[in-house]
Amino acid sequence: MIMSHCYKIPVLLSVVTLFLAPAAHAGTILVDPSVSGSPGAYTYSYEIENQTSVGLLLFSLTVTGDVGAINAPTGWVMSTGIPAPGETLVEWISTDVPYDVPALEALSGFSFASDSGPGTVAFSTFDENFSEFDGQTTGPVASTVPEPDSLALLGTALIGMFTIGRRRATLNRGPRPVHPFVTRY
Amino acid sequence: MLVDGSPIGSSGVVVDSEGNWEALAYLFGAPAPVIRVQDRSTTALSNQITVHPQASFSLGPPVPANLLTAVLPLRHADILVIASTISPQHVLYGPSYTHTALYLGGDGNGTPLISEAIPGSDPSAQTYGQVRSLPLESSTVWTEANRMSGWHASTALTGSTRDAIVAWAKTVAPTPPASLSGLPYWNVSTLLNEVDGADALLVAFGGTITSRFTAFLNVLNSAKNSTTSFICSTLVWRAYYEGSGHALDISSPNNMTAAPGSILGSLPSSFLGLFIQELDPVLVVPQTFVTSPKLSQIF
Repeated sequence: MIMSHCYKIPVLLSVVTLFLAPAAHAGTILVDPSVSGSPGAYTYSYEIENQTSVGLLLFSLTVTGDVGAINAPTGWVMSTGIPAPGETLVEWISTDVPYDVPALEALSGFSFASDSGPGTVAFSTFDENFSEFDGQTTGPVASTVPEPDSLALLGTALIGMFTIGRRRATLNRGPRPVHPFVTRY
Repeated sequence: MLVDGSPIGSSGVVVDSEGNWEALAYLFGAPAPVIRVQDRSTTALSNQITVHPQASFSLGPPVPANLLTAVLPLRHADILVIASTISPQHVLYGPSYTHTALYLGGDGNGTPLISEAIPGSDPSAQTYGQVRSLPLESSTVWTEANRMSGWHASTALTGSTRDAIVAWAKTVAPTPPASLSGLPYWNVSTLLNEVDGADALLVAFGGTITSRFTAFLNVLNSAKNSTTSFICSTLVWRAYYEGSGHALDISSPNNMTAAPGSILGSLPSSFLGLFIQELDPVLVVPQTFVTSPKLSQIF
């Protein structure tokens, strides 16, 4: 589904800018995050500043917090995946060159809702040559709950394996005398 | 194959058309088991070898239940395919098998070795590297699997081809310490971005193959053919491809599928078949091997 051409600005009864991290740097790709909303109902928005000479066609975040409705700039589609238990990949992909983040320009409109509060998350971008730029920015993170200590008990067993074999240069010679030796390949 | 006078399994070991045989004896319980080999035809017994297994923390995968005898017929260049709950392959397509490795045969002391590629996030990568050859018992095939199967080429390989497959694997996947500074596993996040991106583009355009979708597939194809980074299945596939002089391509046909809940399996059913068809030439996974007509299951 291609996103609407209109980027909707969220209207909240109580809009509070909770966190505005400095722009994250990844080479010469800058990701400017902004977080609005209130605890339990945040909106995370991003602007990408492309200071390279190649357009950008993909922007993704790997977050541990909740991910709700996602919005994308015109001509971009979005997707989610689960790279590891407890992680969500939020991805925006440009559908064609005219929609890419142009060289030496910026593009905003990447946003999504989340119940989770802000923290540090990883981002990735691909340029039109599929060169990857990675960095860190602000995004939703899961609150951590300490787990009780556990004691790992290790048992030992005396096991092993052993390879053995023999090699003959001749073919199909019927019953063979047995003189095994350890394989050396 | 007799261990302390008792045969391992009932099928014994088969001598191939070139007159060669090899066996992988799983030794359990005795501190210094004695191995002998007996000829079925003549009942002649070999000299005996006393083996001193290393203490191990793992008994190996619980399945197959007959693991003690199942691994006996393994020969160098055979393929091991396992299921592990922690593999990054799960999120991609929800496979029944998630990891694969190449069995290299024994080292000079008879210790069975394998070559495997594992993500850098796996704890054992710190000890053995990511693309590495190591004792089977130290590998993730042994320590992280809950199920294991063995496979060999449906058309028997010659000894020289087996040797070439193993030699190629050892070149790109050295033993520690060289493997610690060796080649890397793919960046899992990058892989997911690429597959997820292609997936989203196909759906966005209602199943139409666009130039950008093709660009994503081209990147996946470059990764598949890379010899500077690997995933488990590209390491095994490429070893067969190079070792057979490009005659045996076990990535084709690719009969992989996708389970519900995975990235690929979450595609609308109307696009799933098309997407898998487009992915087949550019992505090789363990499931490719277990569904390949070019491979037959040993156990």
